[in-house]
Amino acid sequence: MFMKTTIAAASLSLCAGASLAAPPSGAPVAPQAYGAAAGMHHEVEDLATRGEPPMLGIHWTRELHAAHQARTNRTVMTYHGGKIMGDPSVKAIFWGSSWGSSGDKIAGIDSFYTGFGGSKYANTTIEYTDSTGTHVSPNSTYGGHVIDTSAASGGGSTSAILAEVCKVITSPAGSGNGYYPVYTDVPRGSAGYCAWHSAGTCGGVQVQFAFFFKLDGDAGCDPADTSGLHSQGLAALANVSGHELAEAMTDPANPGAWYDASGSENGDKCAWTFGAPLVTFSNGSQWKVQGEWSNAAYNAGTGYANSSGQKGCLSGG
Amino acid sequence: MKHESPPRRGHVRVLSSALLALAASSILPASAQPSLPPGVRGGPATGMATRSVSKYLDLERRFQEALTNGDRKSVQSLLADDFEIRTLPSADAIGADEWLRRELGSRRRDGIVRDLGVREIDDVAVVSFLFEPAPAAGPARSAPTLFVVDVWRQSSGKLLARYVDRPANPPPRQSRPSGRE
Repeated sequence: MFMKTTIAAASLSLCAGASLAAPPSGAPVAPQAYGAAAGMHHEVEDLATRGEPPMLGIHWTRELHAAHQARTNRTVMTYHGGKIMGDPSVKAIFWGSSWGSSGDKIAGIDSFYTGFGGSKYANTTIEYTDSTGTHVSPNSTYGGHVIDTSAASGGGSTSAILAEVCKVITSPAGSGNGYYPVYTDVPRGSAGYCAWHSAGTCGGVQVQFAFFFKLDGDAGCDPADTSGLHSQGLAALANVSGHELAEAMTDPANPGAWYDASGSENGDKCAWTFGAPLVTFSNGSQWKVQGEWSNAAYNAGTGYANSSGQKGCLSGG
Repeated sequence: MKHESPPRRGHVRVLSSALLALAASSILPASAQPSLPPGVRGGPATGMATRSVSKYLDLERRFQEALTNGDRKSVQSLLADDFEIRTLPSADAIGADEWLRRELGSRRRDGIVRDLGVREIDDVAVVSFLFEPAPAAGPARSAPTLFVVDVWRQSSGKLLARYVDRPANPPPRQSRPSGRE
């Protein structure tokens, strides 16, 4: 008998509002065009049609407005006052005794982060702003990796992973935009998550960090990349790496920045959906990575559908 | 059913984390002291859910939304022909028709599904979660948190059975920044 067990803690708020017909698809509007307007509260849907002047400032009926607000507010991400990441400064940490022989994973992760900066994929995040109107920056830089072959801990303790980051990153980025993904050789077991991101400080310097299980042979965290370009383990890590970095860029710390009414971040809202077979990064590397949520694309009806049928995901392809 | 639920092992995790932090602080120079801000978001509880958890969160959401909206057709489309539910006060099985008559005939409140777990056994998925109704407005008493176990047939996407109980002391919801609930 084949059994797979995946257990997780998750919370989800349910909408009891009346259902509305989806607004008609408008002219494609690039997320960048929304800019700061996309940042705050989406109370107006873009009903523009190609060649027509934009229809703005729709004054909905009481009933439709309330229902529309309830539905929209639960679907789109909203801003909660916290910081967003400026130019991310990334350095990967490979933690665990088995990283001495990793196959293609270390070189592959190096390539992933090298190509992430300035990619169309990274650009899926730039519509989101902070309270000053500053946009999330897609221009990440990659400072290489560190290997720590001491025994790694699992992902149950955020402080343990932060302690590892502080141990091996002796000079975190002074800008406070350092992002340190920790790749361990610990199998997921029955945990219901594949990876996570968080934030803390090392010596008073703000850092963002993430934790990754070893995902070799783990169907619960496998994007099913059939391209043959990467090992299964590397392909799995790449997909979840994209998810976590995109979230760290738009919702890095406490208080939070961008997430929806149920707490879902841009990566969560498009998890396990892929808008393109492969996404090409700025260094030419190609990856099967999930899409990322765009409020602008959702409101314009130009994104691809997530698992709930909401057309707000951008593939970055 | 195994359940990776921070509240049940919370005290052990907190102690382990505290001990680890204490050990780390004793060997690291002061300049590298790790520090997690209070109420930090992110971490295991909000990590990237596995495929199964994502799938069944979405399915349970749609099912609950259809029930809340009184959408009989949508609810029935997700029920197996031989669906049954067992819940308090009687442990006797109730069939789909009777259950729908009771459910759709009563006022349902919005709520939160949390602590969802999935166990896949061949073509069956056993999904458990806590359902926490939204607080009642005015003088009405809030409904209690329920522990729900749903048994789904994976190939058909149909709900075979539901078991509902009312835990005496449900684990507390993890604190979250305002606006996430």
